[in-house]
This record gives sequence, structure tokens and C-alpha cells, in this order.
Amino acid sequence: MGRAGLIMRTWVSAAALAALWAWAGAAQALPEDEAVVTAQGQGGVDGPEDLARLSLEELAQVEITSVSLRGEPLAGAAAAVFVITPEDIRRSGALSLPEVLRLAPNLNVQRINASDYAITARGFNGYEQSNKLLVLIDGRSVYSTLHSGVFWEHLGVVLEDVERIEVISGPGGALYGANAVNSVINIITKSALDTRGPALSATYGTDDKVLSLRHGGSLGDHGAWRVWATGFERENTRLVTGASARDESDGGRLGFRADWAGGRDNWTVQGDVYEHQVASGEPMSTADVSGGFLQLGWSRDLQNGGRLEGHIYRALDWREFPLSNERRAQTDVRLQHTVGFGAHTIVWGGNYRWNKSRLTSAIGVGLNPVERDITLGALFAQDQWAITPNLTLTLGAKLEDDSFTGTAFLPSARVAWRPGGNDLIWAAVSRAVRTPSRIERDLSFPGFLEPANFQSEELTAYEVGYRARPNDRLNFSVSLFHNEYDKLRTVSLQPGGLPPLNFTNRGGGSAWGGEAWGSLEVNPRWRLKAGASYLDKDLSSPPPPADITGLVSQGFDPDNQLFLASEAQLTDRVEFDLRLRRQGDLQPAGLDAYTEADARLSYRLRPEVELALVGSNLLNDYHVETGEPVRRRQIARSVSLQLRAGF
Amino acid sequence: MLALSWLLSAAQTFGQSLEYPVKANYLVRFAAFVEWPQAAFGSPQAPLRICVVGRDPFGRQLDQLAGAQVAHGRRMVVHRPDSQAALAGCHIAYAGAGVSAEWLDGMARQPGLLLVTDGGARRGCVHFVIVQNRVRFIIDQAAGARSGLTISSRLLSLGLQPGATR
Repeated sequence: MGRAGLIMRTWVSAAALAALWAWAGAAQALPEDEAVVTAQGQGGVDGPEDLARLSLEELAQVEITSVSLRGEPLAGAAAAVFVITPEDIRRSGALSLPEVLRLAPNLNVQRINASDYAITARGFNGYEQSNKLLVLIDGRSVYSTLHSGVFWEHLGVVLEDVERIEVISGPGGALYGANAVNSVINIITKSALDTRGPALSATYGTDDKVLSLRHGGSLGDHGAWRVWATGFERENTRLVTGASARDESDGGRLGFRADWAGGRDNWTVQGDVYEHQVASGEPMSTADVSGGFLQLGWSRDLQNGGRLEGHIYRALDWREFPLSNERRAQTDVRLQHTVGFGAHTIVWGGNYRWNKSRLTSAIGVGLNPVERDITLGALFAQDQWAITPNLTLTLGAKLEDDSFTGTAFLPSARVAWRPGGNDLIWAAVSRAVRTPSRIERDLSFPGFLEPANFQSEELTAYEVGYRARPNDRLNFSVSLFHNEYDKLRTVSLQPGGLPPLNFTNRGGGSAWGGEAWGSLEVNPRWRLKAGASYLDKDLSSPPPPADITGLVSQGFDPDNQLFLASEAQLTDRVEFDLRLRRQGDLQPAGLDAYTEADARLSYRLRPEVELALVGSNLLNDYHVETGEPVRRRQIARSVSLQLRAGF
Repeated sequence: MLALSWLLSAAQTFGQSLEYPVKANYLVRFAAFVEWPQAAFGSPQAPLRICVVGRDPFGRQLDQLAGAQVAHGRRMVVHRPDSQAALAGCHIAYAGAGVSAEWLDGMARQPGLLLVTDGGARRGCVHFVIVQNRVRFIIDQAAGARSGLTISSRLLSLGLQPGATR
């Protein structure tokens, strides 16, 4: 009772503080009586005329040239990219990064328990199987070399200060680093120059409680800073039997960011520290994850119109679980030069990462050696050639080197063609590899499981897509892919069927499918959005003893997903949003399809203050999202009240 | 907002810079955030004049944007004056690099004229700069006051601090 009582008191006082602050008008009020009236646009003819639909503040955010800012691919249009904007995040009512990612129709997001998620694009989903995804936060790679997957429970940002999230399904291209195989998720936070002033967001709900505070200001004439803190609490989920899974989690994070934009050089410094208590996967015990990072980013606009940019960062992460502890230290350096020669835009550069991982375990199974240094280096080059004003060919190549398997040559080619004014056809062919993780190389249980020389998994991806904007109100995008995989992970007995087991690369096959999404503005106050994805896997491995798992590494994926959303401005101050999603049957073996709905009703008290009532997973009392029977937890219906001020 | 992402993607693929389209959009929007003295307009129906002085980097798109805009209940028209005398009827003047110092002096002293400069050492009430690959601007409130203009707080809050340079 004591802990709950303390939490209650903290929340009540935080809410009181928030209400007081909001009503005291601490937020900068925007004048509501603007004299501007913009006539409806005249049917989108050319890109630049779309600017007329943007507000003054949004105009200030438009990046004006093809020189990319933070690792964004230049040929970004020639790929299946879904962009999540701050407006999307706000209207979704989502309270964590994985929940925000549900907005992308090209991703399959499976919530496993109170803190764990499995997220992929185009297959291979599952807590242990999702390992072909590169996630970047402001250029920092956050997947783990322990299992090549993403530990979502380590991550956290103040969602209100996210500038955009680019979700690319497919290999990202030459500019993205290691692990960009099936998808790249590029999370970009706002520059401190755009987050001056105080801001608060507080959420109190049956499942989630979140409090985020931010304050920012100017640094001389050219710069700005912000500091922020965010904390959360999540209730437990239930086992399929109905008993509590005892996986409630909570944590806090503190961070800062500073940006200087004087003259030709731009600098960014940012960092954070965090500590979360998370689900351990074992009943009756919890686990702690903690860490922090410090990053320095730099870019310079060159006289000839080119750009030089780079970063250096250091990140430390700890995982303290009942049966094992891991300490990971990463240092990463990147430098990239963009330059134009007539119709060619060339980007080239290099990236080097040192990763030191130390895992100690309490039982006989562990990693051998206990401590391992993994280095990941890449040299990349890309030429985007505007053959005609309507046809662009992008050729890229990456030389990826990792300390486990050596060097791989990864070429890619993309073509983008604009036949009329409003549509775009693109096609791409690329090669990507997923380098071995520590577990695949070092896991050792002498006599039973021993390390063998696990190789990189390989992908050749063929993609094609179409994007159109037939008129002002409608736009949509369709993409199709055919992926050929080789050297997928299998677990083999020795020839003859005797132990020890080895991790081997005997799986392969192909997968094909597609994604589509679109948005229709029914009238200026009502927008409908839809999305869908389809996946057909034909992956296999030889029978035992060559693979005793039946290629379990292929994951549990829905054959299809469907998304529908309605965003409506009911009155000048009231918004109502409804989101439906359906995850198809999980193949293989698994889980029946489920359909869920989220709704949000919000009221704008003042221009900078908004109150919202959010309901999540409304259709069922409980539902399960993930395939592996051992990991299945029931996710409950929940509601929450959210206050946002200053953001 | 998908329009924004598509727009950015399209521009990036085809190597077009959005610099001047964004500046053109700003020019037609500024009108709504500035108050002119009564005497600046001949009648309640008189249109608001945007003048482009010197080299014109916008072309037809500025005219199209102005045609679709209404501010303070007034239509907007775009002129390209060829003499200093013709500047007299302007409410907003865009002066790119290369406009003579004499003309700039004249425009800075003209009452009821919002001078927007772009490049060059001389700055008007509003001065465009490129910061972090975006078009931003610096506002000189004192210059605006000298010309008899009142600039709204929303526009002021979007302006960068004086000192930010290209």
C-alpha cells in the first residue's frame, strides 16, 4: 500500500501542478484571431504548390534542398517510406515509441508483455526472431549486438519533441549501416532551436502513467538548449490463465540537447541517462535496465552547395536480469560528404563502431568468451543521377565489415520515374546482410551447445512501388517486394544426430508481399486514412539433424494487416480520432487474428494546452499479440487522461 | 501531413530546391501578421501590393500564391516596379541581392512599406536567412516601427535572433 500511496500522491500533486501552471497561462498563447484566409489550393500540379497548405510554423520546418540532414537517404522517395509526424503522434494518444510505431502500416508491432515488444517489417517477427531491423535515434544505432534485435524496453524519448519518424520497409540503401535488412526506423528529435520554453505532459491511465517535463531556452544569438525528464509506470499484463504476469514496469529518464546554428557550422550535443525496471520473463522476479549516452553532431554547408556532416557518440547500457547481466559500451564515429556535379548528387563516407559487450551468467549456459569486442565498419557511396528532370537513378554501394565475418559488398540500385505531374513509380534492387550476434557466435553450454562459425544471413530484395496524389485531397502509396533469403539461422545437431548443437546457416527461401497506405481529406475537418500489408513466406530448412527447430527463426508473422483511421475536427476546440487495426492469423502455428480499436477525444483549452481522453484496445477485454506460446501475455483494455501543455 | 513528407521526398529525388517556393509562401503570408497604417491603403477595397525589386527569382508561382490569398479582407497583387517612383504603392517589397543602395535607402524610409531583404549586407524589416537547411527570417522590429508597421507576436516569435547568419 505504501508504494501505491506514494505514487498516488505524486500523481495528484503533479496533476495539480500541471493544472495550476496551465491556467496561470505560463504557456505562450498564440493569438486566436488571425486575419489570414487561404483559399483552397487548386489541385496539386507541382510539388512546391503543396506548401500553400502548411501553416507558418510548418513552413519554417521545410527542408529546402536535397542535401539530407540526419542520415536521411537522398533517394528517399524510391522506397516504401512511411513518415510519422508530430501531429500523428499527438493524435494517436500513444505513450511509448513502440505504440507510436503501430501507426506505420508497413510494420508489424507485437506487444509481448508490459515492457517488451517485437517489431519488424516484412516478416521474421518474434521476441527472439526479430533481428533484421535497424533503429536509429538521431543517427544513433540502438539495436543490440547481443541478439541483433532491439530491446525496446531500453528506449525512451519525450514523444512530444519528436520531429518525425521515418519507417522504411526494405533495406535502407547504402547510407544506412549494419542491420538494415528488412527495415530501417529513423527517429529524429526536434532541434533545441524549436523547443524553447517550458512544456509538460501528464498522463494518468489504467495501464499507463507518464509524466514528461521539458524546458528550453536560447544560447546566445545562434543556439538553444533544452533539458527534459520523463517517467513512466506500466501495469502488469496477465498470463493466458488469467493470473497476473507480475511484469509491471516503471522507470525514468533525464536528458538534454543543445544546438548551435551560427554561420556555416551547425553543432548538436545531446545525451541522456535512464533507469527502468522491466519484465524479466521469469515469474516472481524483475529486471533492471539502465544506461546513458553522449553524442556530438556536426554539419557544415560548403560553398559549392555541398555538405559535410558527422557525429561521434558513446553509449553505455546495462541489463541486470535474474540469470544474466550484460554491460555494453559503444563508441561510434561517422563522417559523410555530399556534393553535386551537374545532374549527379554524390554522398560518400564512412562509419566505425566499437562495441564491447560483457555478459556474465549465473548458470552453466553463458557466452564464451565473457567479454567480446565487436567492430562494425562501413564505407559507403551513393550517386543519385537525375537523368532527366523526371527520371532519377540512384546507384549505391556499401562495404560492410564486421569483426565476426569480415567484409561484405552490398550494392543497391534504385530508379524513380515521374510520368505525369502527380505520381511516382519506383523500383529497387539491393543486397543486405544481417551480421552475427554475440549469442549466435558465443553462446556455449559445453557438451550441449557449442559455438560454430555462424555466418551472416543474406538478403537480395526486389521492390517496386507507386505513389500518387491525384488531387488535393487524396494521396496513396503502394509497394510490392520479393525477398530472397539465404543462410537463415538454424540449429543443427552433429551429423549422425548427436550433440553438441550448433547455430548454423541452413535456412533459406523467399518471401513476397506488399504494403499500401493512403489518406483522403473528406472535407477540411475530416480525414480518413487506411493501410494494409500482405506477406507470403516460403522459407524452409532441411529436416533434423540439419535443423531441429523447423526454422523457428523465421518468426511468427500475420499474413495480412489492416488499418483504418478517422481524424475529425468536431468543433474548433474538439477533436475525435478513431483507429482500427487488425492483425491476421500468425503463421506458422499460432495465434488467431485479432482486431482492436483505439479512440481519442481531445479538447483544446487554450492554444497551447490540450486535454485528451484516450481509450486503447477497446474492443476486447484482453487480447494476445505474439506467437510464441511461452511468451504470450494478455493485453488489457485501458483508458487514460492526457494533459499536454506547451508542446 | 502525408503531403509534407511526399513533398519533401519529391523535392529530394528530383534535386529541386524549395528555397524560393518557401520564400514566396512567406511573402504572401507575412501580410496577415503585419498591421499597416490606415493611410497606406486608398480604400477598404484597395488590394495589398507585393513588389519584387531587382531580379525576380519567383516567376509565376508568386502571382499564383498571391491570387489565392486574402489578408485583412484585401486581395493581393504582385508588381514588379521598374522605377523608384513606382515603389510608392507597395506594401511589401522583396529586394534580393543586387538591388542598389539608393533603392534600399528609399524603401527603408518609405512609410507603410514592409521591406523584405534576402542576401546582401543591408537588412530590412524582415531578412531571410538559411539555417539548418530551412528558410528562416530575422525581424527588425525597430525598422518596422519606423515605417509605421505593427508586427504580430506570432511572427515575431518565429523570427530568429538578430545575429543568425547565412
